[in-house]
Amino acid sequence: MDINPLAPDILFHIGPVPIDRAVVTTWAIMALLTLLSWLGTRRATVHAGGLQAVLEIAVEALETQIRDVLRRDPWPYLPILGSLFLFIVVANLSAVIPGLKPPTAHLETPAALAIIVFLSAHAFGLRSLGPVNYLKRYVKPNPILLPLNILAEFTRTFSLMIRLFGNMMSHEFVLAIVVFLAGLLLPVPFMLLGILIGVIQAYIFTILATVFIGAAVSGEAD
Amino acid sequence: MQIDWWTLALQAINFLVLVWLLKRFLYRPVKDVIAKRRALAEDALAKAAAKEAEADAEKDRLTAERDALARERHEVLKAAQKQTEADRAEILDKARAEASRIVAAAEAAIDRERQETLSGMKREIGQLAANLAAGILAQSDAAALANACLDHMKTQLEALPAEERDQMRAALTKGVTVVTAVPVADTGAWTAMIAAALGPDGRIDFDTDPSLIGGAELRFPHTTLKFSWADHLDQAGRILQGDDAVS
Repeated sequence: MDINPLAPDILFHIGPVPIDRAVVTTWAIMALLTLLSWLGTRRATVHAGGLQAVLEIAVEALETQIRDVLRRDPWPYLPILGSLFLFIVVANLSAVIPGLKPPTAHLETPAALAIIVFLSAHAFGLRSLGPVNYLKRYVKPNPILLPLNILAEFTRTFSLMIRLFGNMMSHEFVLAIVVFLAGLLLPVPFMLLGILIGVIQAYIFTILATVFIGAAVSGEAD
Repeated sequence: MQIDWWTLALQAINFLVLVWLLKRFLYRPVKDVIAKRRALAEDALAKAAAKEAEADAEKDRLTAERDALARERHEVLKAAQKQTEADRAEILDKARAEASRIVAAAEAAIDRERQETLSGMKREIGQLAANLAAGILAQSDAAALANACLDHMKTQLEALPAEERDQMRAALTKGVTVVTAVPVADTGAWTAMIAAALGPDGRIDFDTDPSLIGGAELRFPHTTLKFSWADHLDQAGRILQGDDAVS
């Protein structure tokens, strides 16, 4: 038990770049999502087929959710927020496939996603409000709160990262412990619970990201 | 706990690539399809609205046409009613005129028949009276009756206008015939009466005609003076028959 389960699981190197197992899983997820999207939309018609209908339903559900939170046209924000949800869901659910470990259970992936959310929120905010108006939001309602507002930018990003990572990592640990202690069949309910947790965490991550972006583009406090 | 920064960077790049891929293969096609579907739906709605407007216009047109037909029907019925009333009035007028004509014709026929009946009755009565009088007179003394009218003839001749008497006096020169019902016994009295009334110049002949019944006639070449009972009875009969020409 001297192997650190949180340590990167390097599979191979490309030049100086170590390729982690989570990266390879991510590539597989990317390939899967891209392939499904391509298959579903390569001959997209008004009269949708089975896969196209599923994809349309998913996209429209995401669009509705984002519209409800942002209260504005969701299409500029849909690629990043929708991709967040789809990627996290598939990544979280990959735990049910034997031999696969969800990339979100490793700190780098949630961190990368949280950083992208952090940067995209500022990018959308600056594009929507302009630099002056966007920066003014940090001195509202009182300039005294400026340090706290700046600190909150980082802490909320950090909490976004840790929430996803902690949940998925702990689920992996619980599952590993139960398998170790009780054998093969007992972990099944935990795995089903893992599906629920995976979907909920993806939803929470996406909704929080949407709220951050919505706050940035509207100039309001979170 | 440690962070592999290479992995973090790769995952960030991976996610951005995934965003691009999904935008390229998922969101954009789906958005296009949704937009196309929405456009079709809006087009269908617009067409439906146009059809509805068209149907409304057609409905309005049909309503107007129906109203116009109702008005026209009313007008036609009114005209037909008016024509019928005019025809009825004309027929009634014609019938009344025909009835009046028939009634007038019937009244005229009745009047004419009445007149004819009356005339026939008068004629028969006059004829009967004349026959009765002739019968009575035929049984009386004809010679006396002839002589009885001598004074009357003299008075009548003297009462004639002078011009007319001159013409008779001229005619007397060519001869006059005294006609009686029975032969005259006293021709001298007749000759004296004529000479006294018309003058002594002239030739006087005597003749008999039983149809005169009584009295006498002076027959000049171109005229006859009647003083006979037959002439009186004839005049009386014509008076009885209502002949106004009798004087």
